[in-house]
Amino acid sequence: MHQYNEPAFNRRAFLKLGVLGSSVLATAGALGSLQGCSSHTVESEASETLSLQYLRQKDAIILSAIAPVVLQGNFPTEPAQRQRTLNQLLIDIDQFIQSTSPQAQKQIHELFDLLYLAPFRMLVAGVWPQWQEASAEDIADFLASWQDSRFNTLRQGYVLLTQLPTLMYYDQPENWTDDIYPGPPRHIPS
Amino acid sequence: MSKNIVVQGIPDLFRQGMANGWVTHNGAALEAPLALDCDVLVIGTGAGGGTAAEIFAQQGLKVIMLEEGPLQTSNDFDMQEKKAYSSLYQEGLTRGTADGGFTIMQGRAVGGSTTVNWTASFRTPDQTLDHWTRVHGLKGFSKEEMAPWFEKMEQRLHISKWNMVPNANNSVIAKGCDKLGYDWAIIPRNVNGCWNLGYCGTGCPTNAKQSMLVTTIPAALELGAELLYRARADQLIIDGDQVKGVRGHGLADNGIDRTQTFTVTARHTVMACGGINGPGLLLRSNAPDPHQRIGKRTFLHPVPATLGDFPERIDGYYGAPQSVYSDHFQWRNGTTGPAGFKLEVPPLQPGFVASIGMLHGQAHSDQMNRLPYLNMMIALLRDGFVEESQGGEIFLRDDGIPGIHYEINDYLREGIVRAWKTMTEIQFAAGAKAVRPVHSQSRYVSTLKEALQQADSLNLDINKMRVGSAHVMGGCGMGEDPQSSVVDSLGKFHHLDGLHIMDGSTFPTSIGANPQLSIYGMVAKQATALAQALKG
Repeated sequence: MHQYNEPAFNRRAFLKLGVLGSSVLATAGALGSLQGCSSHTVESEASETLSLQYLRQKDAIILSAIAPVVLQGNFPTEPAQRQRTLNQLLIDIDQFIQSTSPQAQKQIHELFDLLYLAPFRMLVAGVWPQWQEASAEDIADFLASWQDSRFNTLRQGYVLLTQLPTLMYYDQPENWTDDIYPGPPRHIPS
Repeated sequence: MSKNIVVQGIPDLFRQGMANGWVTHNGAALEAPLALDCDVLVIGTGAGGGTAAEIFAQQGLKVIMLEEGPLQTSNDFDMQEKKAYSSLYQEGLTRGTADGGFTIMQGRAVGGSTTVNWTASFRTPDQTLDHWTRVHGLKGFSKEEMAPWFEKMEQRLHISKWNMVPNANNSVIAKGCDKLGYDWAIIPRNVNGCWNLGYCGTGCPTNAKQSMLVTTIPAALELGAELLYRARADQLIIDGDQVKGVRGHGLADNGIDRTQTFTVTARHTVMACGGINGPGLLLRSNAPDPHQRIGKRTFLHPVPATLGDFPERIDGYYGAPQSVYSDHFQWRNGTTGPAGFKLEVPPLQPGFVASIGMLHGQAHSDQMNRLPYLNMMIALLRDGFVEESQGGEIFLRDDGIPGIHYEINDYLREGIVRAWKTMTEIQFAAGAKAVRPVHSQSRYVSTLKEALQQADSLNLDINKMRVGSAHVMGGCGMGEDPQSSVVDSLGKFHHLDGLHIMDGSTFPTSIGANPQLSIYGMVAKQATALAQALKG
């Protein structure tokens, strides 16, 4: 058993994560006020700015570290293409979250708040470097540990962190190839 | 191949009707509080509300239909998953049980789930009707008494067995079952002039699906009914023992932010809000519940799934999504034995497969790269027929939106493993070269023996296995005894006057089949009786 799976290890953080009663595709539980509704800009790694409604800088940093690992294999490797794809993915995730529910929005922010705290990142997620510095292996180990965790809250965290990128990546027509999905018929409204 | 088809020249019947004088109100556009009055208020426009509204309007009653979801019509239905999930599904596709153990796909639109369902249209099985009569004391639910109502709605909604060749995804059930000597049959669908595209789940772009959106709701509007959409019912107006309408608020285009308040007063109120939002409205309204029955016994048809990788293309994203089923394992243990299940397939558009696959990294990409060759099989477990299967319970979250607790217990776990094994056997018999259950620790294995071993060895914790639901039933169960039910056999609320509930939330158990025709037939019967009573 990994030490970060012991609830007493960082009890306060763990209890807070307990509020996260949901996965992206499965949500319910507690709720709070709407956060981050005003539009703001987030600097991406290439110093471009993205206009996002919901995702904050720290959310974007964590997603930028995790999403390419979640999508490893099909995510572009050429740097410029990789950055374009990542930016679009952040925009799509941001839009998706906007139409969910106040509760889902709050829980997603809470998860990213926790993941952004250095003690939580190191001790519960097991990622010792900062997110920007973490290697693909660090992230893969983290995902695998939450995927197999004996704690449902961490498994829910895994589901959320993998479903957001996978749903939005494969819903985006720019990421389709004929090998994967030729796409729907063309639609011309009357 | 569907990609090369161009969907164009489809008249947008709903927008044309609006241009020709149908009365509709958009809650998102409210700039001042709105007050409306009518004979019958119908809350919810899905299978129950749509059916009821048409019948009331045909009897000359002044009807107002209330809908929380957006009005989207054929011109909006561009077959893109991303837009559809965010706009047409409850909570933007993030609805689920409180512990995340279930993913729940439920419609949120004018037309309710009928706007996004996959068109399977089954009569309530005889065994289920018998069980309701015998165990739950329902009156008027014998096979003979229900048959004319199912027939009426089959005609109304053009329901008949699919007469085109099933797509390859559905054919896996037929092929595999033939090899193994299991029964299978063709699914009846509510379509008229279907193009066989495969995009029922993102809203039908050709108006072929005979959803409430293109049938009963337009008919009611044509007869002078009014529609208020993007408007959430907050509380019933309860005056003594009498329900006198509802108060609520409009919703902005994101489906979350509030606009203005509204009030609809009515001689009679009919709730058709579904198995989660209906009990939620009663709980928010503090409706009398002396025996604590509201929101209890909520059933989901828990759905485990297996993925089969085939040597030839399946293209499961194209073609009528559900055309073949097997009930071979539905009743073989009797009505009240270990969980019976119905076998079907879902449509396999990429976002859906990518997000429920319970994988990440290279294994996820490898699976997605095989998408054209994948078959997914699902088993709808029949819950609510035995003591060990009491279903879930609805509660109010802090945001006032109802949530659901539903524990997956040993009774269901046994059914889930048995269903995985059965589906795997059928997929291999149909020619799959590798199969895996949808579980975060499963891998594709290439022999039946390995697959059966894997099914037995997987940990059955939630959020390791993925269990879904597209059918929320119960929570306001029917019965003649108020101690054990919420409404009577005609849908009348036991503890208040002026209130009926007419939708799948009144089912005393799950159905054992996709529920839309069960709702249509039952509600046609109940609404006809109520309309006659209201006309006095």
